[in-house]
Amino acid sequence: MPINAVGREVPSEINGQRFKPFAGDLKTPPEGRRAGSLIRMAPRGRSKVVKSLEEVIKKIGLEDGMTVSFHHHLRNGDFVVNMVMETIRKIGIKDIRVFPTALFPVHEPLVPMLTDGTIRRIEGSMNGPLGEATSYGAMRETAVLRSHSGRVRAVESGEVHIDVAFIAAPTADPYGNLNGVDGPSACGPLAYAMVDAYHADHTVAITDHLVPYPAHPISIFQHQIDYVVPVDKIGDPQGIMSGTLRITTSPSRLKIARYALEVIDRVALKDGFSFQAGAGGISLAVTKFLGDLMRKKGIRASFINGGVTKYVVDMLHEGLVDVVFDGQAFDLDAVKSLKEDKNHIETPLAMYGNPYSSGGIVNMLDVGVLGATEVDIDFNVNVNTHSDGLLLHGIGGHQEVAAGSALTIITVPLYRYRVPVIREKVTTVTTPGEVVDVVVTEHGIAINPKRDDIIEAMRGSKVPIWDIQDLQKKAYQICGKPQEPKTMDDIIAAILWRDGTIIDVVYKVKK
Amino acid sequence: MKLRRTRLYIPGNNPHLVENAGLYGADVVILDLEDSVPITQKFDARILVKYSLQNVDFGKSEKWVRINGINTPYWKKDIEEILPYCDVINLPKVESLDDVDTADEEMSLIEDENGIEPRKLVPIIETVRGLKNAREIATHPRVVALAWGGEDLTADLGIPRKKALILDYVRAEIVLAAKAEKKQALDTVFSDVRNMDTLYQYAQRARYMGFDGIGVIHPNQIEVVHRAFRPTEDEIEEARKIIKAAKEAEREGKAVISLNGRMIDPPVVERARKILALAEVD
Repeated sequence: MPINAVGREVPSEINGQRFKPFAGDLKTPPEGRRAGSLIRMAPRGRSKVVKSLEEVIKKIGLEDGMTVSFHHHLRNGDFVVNMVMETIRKIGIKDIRVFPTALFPVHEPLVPMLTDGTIRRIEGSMNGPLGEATSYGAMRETAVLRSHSGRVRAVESGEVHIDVAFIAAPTADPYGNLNGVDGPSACGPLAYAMVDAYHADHTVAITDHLVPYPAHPISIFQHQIDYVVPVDKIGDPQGIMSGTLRITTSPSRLKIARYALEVIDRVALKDGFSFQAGAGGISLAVTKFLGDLMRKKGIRASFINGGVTKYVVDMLHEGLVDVVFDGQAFDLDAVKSLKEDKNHIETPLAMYGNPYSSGGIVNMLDVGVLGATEVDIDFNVNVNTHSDGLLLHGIGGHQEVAAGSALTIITVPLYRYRVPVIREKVTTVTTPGEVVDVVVTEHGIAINPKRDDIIEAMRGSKVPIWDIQDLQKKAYQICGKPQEPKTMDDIIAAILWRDGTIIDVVYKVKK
Repeated sequence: MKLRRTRLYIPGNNPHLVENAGLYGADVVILDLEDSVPITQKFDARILVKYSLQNVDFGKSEKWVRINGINTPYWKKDIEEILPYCDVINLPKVESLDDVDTADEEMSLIEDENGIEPRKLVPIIETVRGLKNAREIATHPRVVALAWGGEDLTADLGIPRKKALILDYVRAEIVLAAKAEKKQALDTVFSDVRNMDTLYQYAQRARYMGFDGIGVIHPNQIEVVHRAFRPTEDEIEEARKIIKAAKEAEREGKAVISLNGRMIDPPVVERARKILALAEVD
């Protein structure tokens, strides 16, 4: 197997499909033309509303081996994936390739379908039980994980062709206009589903809030939707919306956030700057502290890309930022703002960061603050596996934000549960060190040596600055040298870089 | 004089809290072997504290250990095990100069055995008798500061802590006893970790009462207390003018320092120096 640019041995073929090894960010130029979908027609008078999922699946003619896609804007409150897959199982269709943006613990009912022949593989993020089952070898074929934008690229390039897109729609009208800002299962934007609505051969909207024509506002338009299936409930609002997320009170996490803030302040903070917001504990604290600092210094940002929360919305409405780009909303304040504020803009995932497009939002980002499960002394970052080798998380937008931002900061504790987070080698490379600039821990920061400008900007700062190898040694000194994961030779998942090359693989874990 | 604005209490039986204690910039970290450690864990905590003091990086924080009181069976062993590795012994429930002498004797023994420099001692006054003898206690050369504890003291007085009217007097007595001996006075802990505004007011009040610091029980309190102990801009400006006037008087060989027609006494100049030194920290 070839060795790629981060020193990992990777196969040339996954599930019979050819892939190139990772050669460095954007070192593998795109080829060919964008892929299309089946051309359909809808004569006047033909109803799109279908009574049941079973009926719509039969109408479409879903067959063994086909690809169905889903989206995670209902997150851990989603009912649609389980509902559709259970219907497919009952009908007796086999060997399905499931192509979600992300799956969550709520989708655990899919685990038995990995072994009963219903699902042959999943290509998408698997947070929790599905990832764990896959790690132990439950999936017949190899899982493929892509970043949010890498997934868009795969669809647009024809690397993945979607037969049927099932789109959870918090609001729909009978002719297929959809939005996510109204209805009992409101989630905000429908950004993840847009590329599938455009490129799938067949599209089905599933809704628990059918409104008279025309639904408005419109996120996904009627000419892209073939069928509308009303159901009782598409999700559980408790799992869809997080409630108002609270800033961490952990002193070590707050310390990390304050150190990250100091780096941003010294390197990037100026009128018109931009940053990526998130909903993780440390990201939330950074966003809040950044807002406080901007207010104090009289600085205004041009845009925030999110991961939108109340903290971001408050900054927009206070005038600390001109525009919020929204791919995902985490609380009801974000949903309300998206509906009411013209400067709060729903952005298709293709615009967010597809590297093989005419330019994504991430290319305009000044600052991206991201998390990790592990970071190594080459600044490589793992967000997919834990140090025991289990595949438990998706990539999310990590790769494109890291690659796109002028300043990429990784915020991590030095260790978790006495397992070092800063290590000699990460278990899995998700994001290469070449696109990571600063690693921030509660003990201080490490700056990528190739960023002389950041090293210079941090001169005189009270933030402790470490060589990353010393940070790693410090972690080992406290926790001891970490054990290698107990893995076997079988590859259970491929991790693709945003350009479609293989950056790493995940191995089967011994039970 | 060493800054002791914040004393962060860390239970000596909690390894997770101990290993991060030095990260937060407290002037003092107190590893506690007394009230936060149950009797069944006294032995384990002592060993943990001993090894933590040798292996954990406490940064710029002064390393204190609150040992068990001399009325318990644990204190001698506490001193024997941890004294070589800490900067200050924090001795609870001190009631008399005799108590300090007793601890001092044991400390001297261990210091001689190990060939180490004398460690400092900060007694905690938390009984009525201790309060009565505070002025004498402060005279001991090993004592660098007086601290006090409200919970035990009000219990000794037989009054509920929250309704106690005597506490301002107690505070004043601790400050006077300490300052008469040119020692530091350290106020008791503020235990509501959620209410930062009240903490700020509490710390600022302690400062204006003459205390040099307060106790904290959560790292998030440290920054707030340091802010409260930072001199105000007006105070800094006034201190700068005083120091400038003092330098001018010295240069011109004048015996009397005056500022805007007002005579400035030496203690005022000294206070101005302290204010400027404090302003430069952080």
